[in-house]
Amino acid sequence: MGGNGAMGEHGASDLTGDANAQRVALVSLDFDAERSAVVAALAGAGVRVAVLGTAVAGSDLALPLGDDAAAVAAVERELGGIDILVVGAATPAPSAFVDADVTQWMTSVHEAVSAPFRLMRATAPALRRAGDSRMVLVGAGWGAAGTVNGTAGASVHGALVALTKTLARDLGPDGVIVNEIVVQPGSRPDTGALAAAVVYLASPAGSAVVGQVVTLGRGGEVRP
Amino acid sequence: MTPPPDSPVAIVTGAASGLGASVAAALSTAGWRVAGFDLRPSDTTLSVEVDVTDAAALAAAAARVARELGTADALVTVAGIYEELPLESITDDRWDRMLAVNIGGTVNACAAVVPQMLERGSGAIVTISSDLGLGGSQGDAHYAATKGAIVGFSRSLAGELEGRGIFVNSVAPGAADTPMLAADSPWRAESFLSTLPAGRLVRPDEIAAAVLFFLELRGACVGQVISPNAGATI
Repeated sequence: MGGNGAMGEHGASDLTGDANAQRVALVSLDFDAERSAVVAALAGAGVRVAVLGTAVAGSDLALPLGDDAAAVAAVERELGGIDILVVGAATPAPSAFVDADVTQWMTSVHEAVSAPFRLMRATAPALRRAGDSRMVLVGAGWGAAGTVNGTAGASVHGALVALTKTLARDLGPDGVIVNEIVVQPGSRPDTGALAAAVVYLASPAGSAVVGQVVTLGRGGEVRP
Repeated sequence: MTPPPDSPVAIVTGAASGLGASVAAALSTAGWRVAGFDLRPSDTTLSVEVDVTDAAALAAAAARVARELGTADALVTVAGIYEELPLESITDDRWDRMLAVNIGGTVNACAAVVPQMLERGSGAIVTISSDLGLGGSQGDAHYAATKGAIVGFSRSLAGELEGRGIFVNSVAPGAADTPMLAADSPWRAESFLSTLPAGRLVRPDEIAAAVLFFLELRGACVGQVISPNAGATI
């Protein structure tokens, strides 16, 4: 863009809304750079942020991995509720399917799909209680199917696309808006773009985006 | 608030009313100077009355913007028409008109503005398609076809221009609360709205926010589609 910066770099929105009801996010992202960028952007938008794993700049609360129910309870207890869940997904390492041990293959897929699922399930009651809340999954989408020897990763991320879209229908009537942000394999954009997408989907202006896959980078499916 | 004279310039087609007016207002609030292209006057920095189906007139309008405001940093193609008709009622005239406004209006605007952007080596384009162009719907054959065409056009143009500093993306709204949606439209009926996860029509400002999202990312998205549709097309 040739603009003069009037819009600000990735133009963070203000998510504070009612000053008496500050929004709270729970962020679970494996990549340090992504976690730091997302937490900073949410905090910059006026959101109080809890993270799973080590604390990063801007986080108000850091919770240990491994017990999703306890983490959700701690966030509700310490920060007063949960309005936004940002959850990432791991991608199993590429391997030729014909050479793979099917038990190991299945274990890797099961773990990668189940980790975000378990956190989403554990957080859903809190998000229902909050109302006008958000689940934002960060994954690789159908683009994972384009990775050489990527059957396991493609299975994981295909499952997560379908999970996102199904949960959007199931939880939407309860005021929980579910979407996925896809970072295309091979065109990983700057973490600022991911953070901007999270802030956008979490903002009031993003509340009509329901069950969609917002793809960063280039390529991917026609249908979001 | 009037944006300062050195603020970025956006051309918005269909800026006089409905979604186009909302996009123009959102850009203005965000600090852009907006040139509004429409058949009627628009509340923009530079209002240009022009028919988007007239390629030569659009080229002249884009040249005027370059002279008076400077080369456009962004183009948002909102101008379009909608009607719901069963296949047998779509006459040749109605078909041609739908294609001329929705596809022609988008392509003409791009053809008018892209050369300026190429000369400078930067720019961003956001087309307005529709969730009906992604999923189709009963009684929307000609409208959905034009919007599907815009998705394909946008993604192809994105590939063609990304290496030259111009980034193209598309916003595909669902049924929105704009004048384009007739008061008696079935999309306004409770029987439809109750099927949506969000249970309501999309607000024009929510669509404008998606446009701004793409413009602010400055190339982090290339040939992508965001569909604010209240869950109508998942």
